[in-house]
Amino acid sequence: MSQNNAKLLLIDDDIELCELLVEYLATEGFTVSAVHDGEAGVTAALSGVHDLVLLDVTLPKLNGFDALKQIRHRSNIPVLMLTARGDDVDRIIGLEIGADDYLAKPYNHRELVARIKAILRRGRTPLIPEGTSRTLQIDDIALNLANREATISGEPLELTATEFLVLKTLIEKVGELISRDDLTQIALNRKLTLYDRAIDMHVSNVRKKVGTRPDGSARIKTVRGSGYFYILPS
Amino acid sequence: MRLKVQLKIPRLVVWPWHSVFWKIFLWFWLSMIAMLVTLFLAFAITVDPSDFLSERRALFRELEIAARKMELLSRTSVHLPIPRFPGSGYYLFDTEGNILGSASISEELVSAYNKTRSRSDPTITFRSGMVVVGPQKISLNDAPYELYLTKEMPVLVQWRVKQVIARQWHLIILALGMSFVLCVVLARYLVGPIGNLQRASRKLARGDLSARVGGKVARRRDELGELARDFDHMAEQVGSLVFSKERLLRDVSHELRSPLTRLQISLALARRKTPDADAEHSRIEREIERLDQLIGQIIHFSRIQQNMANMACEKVSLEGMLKKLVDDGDFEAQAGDKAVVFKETASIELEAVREFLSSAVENIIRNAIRFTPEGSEVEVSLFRENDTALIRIRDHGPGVPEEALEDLFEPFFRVDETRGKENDGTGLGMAIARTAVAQHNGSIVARNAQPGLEVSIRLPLRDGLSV
Repeated sequence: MSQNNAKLLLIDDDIELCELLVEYLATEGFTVSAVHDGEAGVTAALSGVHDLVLLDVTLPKLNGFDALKQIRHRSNIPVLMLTARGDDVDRIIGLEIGADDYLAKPYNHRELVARIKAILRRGRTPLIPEGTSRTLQIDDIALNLANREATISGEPLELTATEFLVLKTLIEKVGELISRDDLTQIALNRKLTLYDRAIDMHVSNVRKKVGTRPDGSARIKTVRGSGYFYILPS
Repeated sequence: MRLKVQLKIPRLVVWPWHSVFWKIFLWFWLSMIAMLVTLFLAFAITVDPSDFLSERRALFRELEIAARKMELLSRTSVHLPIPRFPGSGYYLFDTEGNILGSASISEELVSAYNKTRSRSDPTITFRSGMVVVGPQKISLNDAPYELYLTKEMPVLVQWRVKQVIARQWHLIILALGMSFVLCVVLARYLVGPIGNLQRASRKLARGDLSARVGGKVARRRDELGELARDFDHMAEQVGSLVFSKERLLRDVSHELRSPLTRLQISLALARRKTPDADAEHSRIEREIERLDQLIGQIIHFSRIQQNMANMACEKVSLEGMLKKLVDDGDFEAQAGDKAVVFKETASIELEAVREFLSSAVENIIRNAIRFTPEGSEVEVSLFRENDTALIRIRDHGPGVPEEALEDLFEPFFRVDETRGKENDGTGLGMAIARTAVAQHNGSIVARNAQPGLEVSIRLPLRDGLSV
């Protein structure tokens, strides 16, 4: 895909993390260059050689928000903010100033890659996805598989990459029971072990976010002890 | 200005009788009155009455009147008429110095007589305990005599007090009134700052760490001013201590995120490089997830602990909130062949921070799901009890040893120290619940329901919030 070989700029003062990310994102097909302070970050971001900026909030010399402001003055290069979790204020400010997306620390690497890809695809929206239908539709939920965006009754639905995968898997096999093992394997990319309740938490979160059908009936059902399924619309 | 006056007057009236204000006021007023009385008495006793012209005149007048009366009476009577008045003694001497009509004569009188007999006009002489006035020349039946008047000192004082009360009562009332006003001013001056201190310390005790005495009181140069400044300093210290403790917890959590993120990326790299160690990698990933959850909980906990002043309160329907939580809990519980049911409900609304209250109940329901055995139910009920809303959550698990019931809500408290595999919680859920409930002025208690644990949350329906 064309998005591979995309050039990313990583602005983060955590040098060790930068090294790791450069190596990891390289295995995902991205070329990453890293700078460690806000001023150098702004200069690099405005150099025009990068496709996307990963911007940390806490930075020496110039903090992430100010750096973003300066970048936005002269460029509309996609920016993914890396914020501290729990600070809703950070998130809101970031989005207001003009970040394309945000990701809270500590972030899951799969989540990070998914977001990067989503933003890069979004940047090329005129390009209608080739081949088969890239949208899953059920009831009033629509999942855009190309940019990993979900909408419910036309309203955007905020899902993490894992939650998106969970919902996608459930909708693809609507009406069929999906075991916890399978769901764990697909969404979390690992085997289900004893006392592993992570998948249940993710399903629970998805259920909370999608709510009930407009007529009040449940969308997702648990089968005691074995798994979940998305109830076929009547 | 007008408002100030209106505020101040009732303030004086509402001061309770046992307050320091009245104590200080009464003590000062009493001592002021006592001092006035003492001063008056001391003055009356020690000051020479002869210093007062009016007194002297009064004494001379009395003597003269007595002399005239005797002269008048002597014309019609053969007897020598010695007048008798209460408090006064009259003594008649002939020219040789012999006393007439009286058998006994005191030494004081003799000494006064000896001193003054040669004078032609009456003078006032003081002898111990006695005032002697004389000689007053009189002639009775054409014979010359000398008349002396004696008065006892105490009688004189009493007489003066009586005179002042009779003639100058408005002066006494004025003195009392003046001292009353002065004492009120003094007591207010001393006690006013105590009220300020009290208000500040109560505010501080309620958890408002920004409470300071400040203002006029702290600028005073006396001990009360010093106390106020010390209090402010203490409040500052307490505030920074609490703040630094909370900040430490938060900072540690924030700081842990960076290594955790690095760990996750390293793990992803390790997965690529050694695909055959998948089981171990999955294990590491799960542990990272747990750490992540714990950090999230700590941050959530410290957010709830901080003053809710900047959180938005809203009308919350407890029934609606619980229904949703029971629903979500039931969904999660089903995976483990358990259930959460709403047993009893009431329509109750109260002012609350929805997010905090909901997370309190959610944590307790989660805990209950964790400990209730497979195939059993977690029961949630809501009812009204007088002026409180009561939420009860009961599981059918093993319960908690009686002595541990209190500690259940302490952060990181675990019933059995050996970490069971079922003990996969973060250890903060119950502490979060207690803090959130306390922020709503409510209480939370746990008791064993044989079998199982029953947690009751009471929320006042009035004044529900501590902000």
